[in-house]
Amino acid sequence: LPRALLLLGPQRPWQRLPRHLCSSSSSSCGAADSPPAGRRCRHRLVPDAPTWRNVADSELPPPTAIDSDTIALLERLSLVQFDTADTVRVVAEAVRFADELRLVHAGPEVEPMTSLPEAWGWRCPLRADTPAEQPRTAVLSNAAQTEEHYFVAPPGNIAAKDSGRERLDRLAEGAKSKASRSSRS
Amino acid sequence: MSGLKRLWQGVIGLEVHAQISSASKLFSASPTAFNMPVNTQVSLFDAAIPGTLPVLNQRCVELALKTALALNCRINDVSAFDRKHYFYADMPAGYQITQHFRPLANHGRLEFYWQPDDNDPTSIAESVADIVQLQLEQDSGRSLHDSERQLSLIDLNRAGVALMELITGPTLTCGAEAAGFVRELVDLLRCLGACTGSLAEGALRVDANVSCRPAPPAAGGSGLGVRTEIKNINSLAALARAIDFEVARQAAVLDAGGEVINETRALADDATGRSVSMRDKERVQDYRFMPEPNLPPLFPSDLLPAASVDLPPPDQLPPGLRRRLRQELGFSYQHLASSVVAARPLADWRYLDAAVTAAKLSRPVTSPHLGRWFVHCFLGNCFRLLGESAAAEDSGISVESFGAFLSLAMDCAMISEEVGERLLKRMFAQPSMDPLAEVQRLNWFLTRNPTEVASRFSQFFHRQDIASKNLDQLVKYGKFKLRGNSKKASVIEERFLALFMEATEYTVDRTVAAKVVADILQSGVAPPPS
Repeated sequence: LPRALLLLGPQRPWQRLPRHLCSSSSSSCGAADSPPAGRRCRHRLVPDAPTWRNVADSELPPPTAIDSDTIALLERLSLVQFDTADTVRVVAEAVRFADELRLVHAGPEVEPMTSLPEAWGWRCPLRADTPAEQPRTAVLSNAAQTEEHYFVAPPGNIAAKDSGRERLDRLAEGAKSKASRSSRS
Repeated sequence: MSGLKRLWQGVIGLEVHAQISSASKLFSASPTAFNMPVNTQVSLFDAAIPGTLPVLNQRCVELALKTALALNCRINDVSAFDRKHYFYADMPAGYQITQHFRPLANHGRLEFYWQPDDNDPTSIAESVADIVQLQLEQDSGRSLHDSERQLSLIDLNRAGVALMELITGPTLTCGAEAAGFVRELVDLLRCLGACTGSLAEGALRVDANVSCRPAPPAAGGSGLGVRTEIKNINSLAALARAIDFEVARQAAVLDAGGEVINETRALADDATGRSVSMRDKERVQDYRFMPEPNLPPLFPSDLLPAASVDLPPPDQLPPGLRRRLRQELGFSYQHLASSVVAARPLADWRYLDAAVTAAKLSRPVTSPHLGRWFVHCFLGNCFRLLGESAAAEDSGISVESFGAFLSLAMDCAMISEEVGERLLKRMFAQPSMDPLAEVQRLNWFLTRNPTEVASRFSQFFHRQDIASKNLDQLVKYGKFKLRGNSKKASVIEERFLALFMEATEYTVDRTVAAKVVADILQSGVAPPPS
């Protein structure tokens, strides 16, 4: 009886998705193409066996060039200092890793999902317009420096004196001269 | 370089940020009162303390939707919030929650009147501005910069307050037009109760995007030139001047063969509209817009009933009201633009309508004096004698009496303007008075018959003080006439005319009197005493 109720129950959004993640022609899926008769597949979104596929470098689009202008922009946008020559290599590798996402083709009819509630039709909750008193001491308690109840901050958005780009250029020059010295000796 | 100078036309779009008049902030329950002690209206969410989440304020959405409806916008079925990332001390989270990809409403329009010619107060033009986008967003805090000690003091009271951003299309052409648009928008927002609209208090902030293109536009292209953005504008007059200055500056650059740089400029001098460049060329800003994952999408149609429950019909909103006053009652720009017009209760306009009908004035009224009589004189007297919040009916002057007054005053052949003003004052003092009877009793009708005017002038001339006090003037007049210096002679004629008009208490037709005075003075013969 409970099974019958399950079958007759209201359709949930995820029940409209295809039964299995991978298509039936793929050989890496260990699951049966269709569940035994009379039984529903419970793990619709999770395959029975891992479906990893190694992506070859040739399949990816050409690697993104990271030049010193890009480094300067990234420093300003992220407030992360690029102070070693290794950093550029790390960033390039991270970008290459993320390039695999470009191989996913979801098709134009699939809307990108921002958050899970959006998928099940949850609407933005609304709040009545009633103000509540706020604790000034609690808000200021984490600040390292305050003055007459103001937060104290550095002036404006002034870049650090020694920007990462100049440092990298210096490092690159140092590496070049080192290489030339070692090649000469 | 060719010797021909091309004419350039300004292309202006505005970004208006209006602070929504709600009791609490957009995503938190902090109060939004003005001028409160530092950092007393900051919740943990506003200070970006981890472990807090935004919750949308229903009233803010309702007021924004009300504005969108009043601006004839197309309300979107689904609207979502996004994060706009940049680092600044007055924005603790490092991003601002705004609506970039799916705003609340698009494609609205606002009709407005403006004055094309500064020197001619009767010049008037009508324009329509496109409202490209209307969206909700958070405000940032306030920072006070101390350059001596190299630090900034941050007050987060304003951080998180709801702002409505309105972006207009590039259809405005000059500073006066932009100022006219903002004036109309402010009146509309005030009428809806969505925003106080005070530029000085910072409740309404305007940034202008200015570029130039050839006038007339080049054939085969709607190409828009490189634009600059002007910030830090605090008043309507400063807005107009800043835009005109920037258009002139760009035209000069383009005339010299140079190129306009895409930059942000700050208004430095309110009086001349001069602006200075804020950022250097290399700075590139990447806001990395991303959908706000903590807020599910908003369906504005759920809130439309609440938003439109007290929305006045279009002809009672300031734009529609002004259009009707202009087209039906012939109001001039001076009176249309007056903030008095937008702030009056609707009962006042019904009163005026009834009075115009009682006066049997033909519609549409073409004479511009109706605006002057009602807005300047009648409502002015109401304000002075009865107080700020008095309505037209509180004067006690019945619609029929005011109608009778209008039929007297609007006909230039009946009574002069000065007599009309005096009569109105008397009517306020004694509301039950019949204006026509009063004018007859005091004999204030205009004398237009030249012989009558001449006899009144001779009465005036032979009064002791006039002739003797102005003997030197008469002598000078004779000299100017001999030398043929007609300009200086007419100055003296004007003087005598002014004295005459004052003496007769303005009950003499001015043109007839001017002619009589000129004739008599030119004849050089003293008029016969009568």
